[in-house]
Amino acid sequence: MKILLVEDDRMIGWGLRRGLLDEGFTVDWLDDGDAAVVVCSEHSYDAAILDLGLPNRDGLKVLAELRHQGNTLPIVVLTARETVADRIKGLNAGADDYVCKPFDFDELVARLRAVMRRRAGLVSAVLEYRDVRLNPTTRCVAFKGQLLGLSAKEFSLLEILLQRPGVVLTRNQLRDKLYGWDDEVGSNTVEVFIHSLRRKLGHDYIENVRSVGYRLPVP
Amino acid sequence: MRSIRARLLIGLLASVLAVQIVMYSMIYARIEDEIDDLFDSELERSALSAGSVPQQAVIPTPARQVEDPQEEMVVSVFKASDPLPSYQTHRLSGIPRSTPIGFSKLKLDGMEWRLFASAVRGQFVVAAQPADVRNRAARRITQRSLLPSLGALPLAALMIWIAVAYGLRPLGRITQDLRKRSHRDLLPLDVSRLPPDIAPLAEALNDLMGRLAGIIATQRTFIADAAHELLTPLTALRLQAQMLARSKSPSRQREAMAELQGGVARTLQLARQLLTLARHDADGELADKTEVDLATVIQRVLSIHLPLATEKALQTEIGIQESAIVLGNEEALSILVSNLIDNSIKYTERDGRLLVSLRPACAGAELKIEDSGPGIPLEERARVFDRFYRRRDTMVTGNGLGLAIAKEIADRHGASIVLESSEALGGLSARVLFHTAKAA
Repeated sequence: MKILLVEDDRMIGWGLRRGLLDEGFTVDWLDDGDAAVVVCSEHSYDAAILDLGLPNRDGLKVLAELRHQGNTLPIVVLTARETVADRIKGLNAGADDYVCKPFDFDELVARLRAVMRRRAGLVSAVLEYRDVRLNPTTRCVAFKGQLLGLSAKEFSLLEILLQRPGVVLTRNQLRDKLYGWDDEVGSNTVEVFIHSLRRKLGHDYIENVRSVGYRLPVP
Repeated sequence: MRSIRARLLIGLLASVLAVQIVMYSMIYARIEDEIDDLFDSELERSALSAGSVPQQAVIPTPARQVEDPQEEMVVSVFKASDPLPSYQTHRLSGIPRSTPIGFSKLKLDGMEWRLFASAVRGQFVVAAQPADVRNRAARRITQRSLLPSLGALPLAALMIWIAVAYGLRPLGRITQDLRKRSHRDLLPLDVSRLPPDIAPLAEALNDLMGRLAGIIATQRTFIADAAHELLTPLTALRLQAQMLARSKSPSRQREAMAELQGGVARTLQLARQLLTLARHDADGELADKTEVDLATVIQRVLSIHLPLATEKALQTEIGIQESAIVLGNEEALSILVSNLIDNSIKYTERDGRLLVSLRPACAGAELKIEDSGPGIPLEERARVFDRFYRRRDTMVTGNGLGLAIAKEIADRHGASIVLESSEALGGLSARVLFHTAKAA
C-alpha cells in the first residue's frame, strides 16, 4: 500500500513516515502543496495524508485542485482547524476523512485503512481469496486456517494482489507500490517476493501473465 | 464627595433665599414710605378734626393717662397763646406751644414722636404719635407677607429636587446602559441621544472603550494563535512518543528518543517565546529602562551561540566597537540579538560564514549580522516579521516567532530592523539601528 504524505512540519513528517513504514505502508513524503499536485498526476498512490497548513499552497486548495483534475485518490486531511465549519469545508473540498491535531497515530492509520476500503468497495477489513485470509489491521495472514509467517514486503505484495483478484498488475506497478523514493530497489526484487509467496502458498495462487505481470487467477 | 443633587439643591435654595432677602428689604422700604404717608394723613386728620370742634365743646377734663404710649395718638389743643394746652386727649407733658406748623419730629420721654401742628379757628392744635408705631406696622406687614413666602421654601426645595432629577436623567440612562452590558460589550455609547453636557464624558468613555477593545482583540488573537501554534509541536510530541513506544530495536529506540527530545526542546522554545511575547505585549512601554551597553550584550550572546557556530564549522568574524550605551531593557535586548544571531546560525549551511559587527552609525549604533545562508527573498522580507509566519524550509524547524519577537523588542527601543541581501557574504544581512544615549 503506497501512501503520499504531504506534511511541512519536519518532526510530524518524520513521525508519520516512521509509523506508516512500521505499519507496512510504503511512504512518499512531500512538504509542499504544489509538488503534491504534480506528483499525484504522475504516480499512483493508494491514499494520501494531507496537512492543510502547508506553505505556498493551502492544503484545501491542493485538495480542490486534485479533485478538479478528476483524481479520486482517498485523502485523509490533517489539520489544527477543528471547528465544525472547518470540517465541513474540508469534506466539501473533497477530503475522505478529517483528523485533527494532535491526533492519535493509531486512529489516523485506522481512518486511512477505512477510506481505502471504502474506495475499494470493501466492507470488511479482512481480504479473502480462496484459502487465504489477510487482515491489514492486525497484519496477520491465515492460510488454510494456519497463521502464515510473511515478511513485510511479502505481506504488502499479497495485500496488493488480494485487493483486486483477476486484475493484472505489471512489475513496475508492483514495484511502485512496494517502494518509496528513498528505498533502494533491486531490478528483480518483485520477482524475488513473488517467488517466495508462491513457495509459501502454492504455485497456482499467483499467475504469471507472460511479459505483462502477475494476477490472482479468478475461476 | 457631595452628590450633584445635593450641590444643586443647596446652591439653588441659597440663591432663592438670597433673592428673597434682597426683595423683602426693598419691599420693607416701600412699605415704610406708604405707612408714613398713611399715618401722617391720619395725624393731620386727627389734628384738624380736634381743631374744628367748637371751643365750648372741648371738655377740659383731666386727661387720661397714656396707657400705651406706643399705640396712642395724643392731640393737644392750645388756646390763644397759653403755653400749656387747654385740652389734651391723653396726659402727656412737654408738647411745646412753639411746635412748628406742619409735620415735625420731637423727642419726648425718651421716645421719638411725630407731630403735626396747625392753627384752626384761633386755636393751635398739635397731634402727636410715637414714631415707633409706624416702624412696627411696617415690620408687621412685611413679616406677614414674608411668612407664606418662607413657607414656600420647602416646596421650592421639592421642585428643585424634581427638576435636578429630571436634568440628571440622561446620566442615569448612561449608567443603566453601562451596567446592563456584559464585560465583552465594548461598543461605543450612542452620543447623538445625549445632551451636550455629558456628550464629552460619553465620548471620552467611548475612546477608552475603543482602546480597550483593541487591546482585548489583540490579546484574544494572540491567545488563539498561540493555542493553534501549540498544536503543531504537541502533535509532533505525541507522534514521537508513540513512535518511541513502538520501537523494538535499540537503534530504533535511540532514533525515536532523539526525535522526541528534539520535539520537547522545540515545544519548550515555543513556550518560552510565547511568554516573551506575552510579557512584552502586556508591558506596552518598557518598565525599567536602564543604560545598557550593547557591546556587552552582544558579546554575552555570542559567547552562548558561538559553540553552535563552531559545531557547524561556520567561519565567524566579529567586529564590535568598545561600547555603545542605549537606554533599554538588558534582557529584552539580549533576546533581540540572540534571535537574530540564532537565525543566521540555523539557516547557514556547514562551513558557511558569519559576520557580526557593531559600529557607530548616524547618531547611534548599528548592529549588523550577515551570513552566507540562503537569505530571504524580497517578497518575503516584510512577512517574516509576522507572528507564526514560517518560511518554507525543510532543514529548520522553527516556530515563526523569533523575528516577530525581535521586531517587537526593536520597536520598544525605538530601534529598526532592516533585512537585506548581504553584499559581503551573499546571504542575509540583518541591520539593527539603535539610538545611543552616549556613544563612547
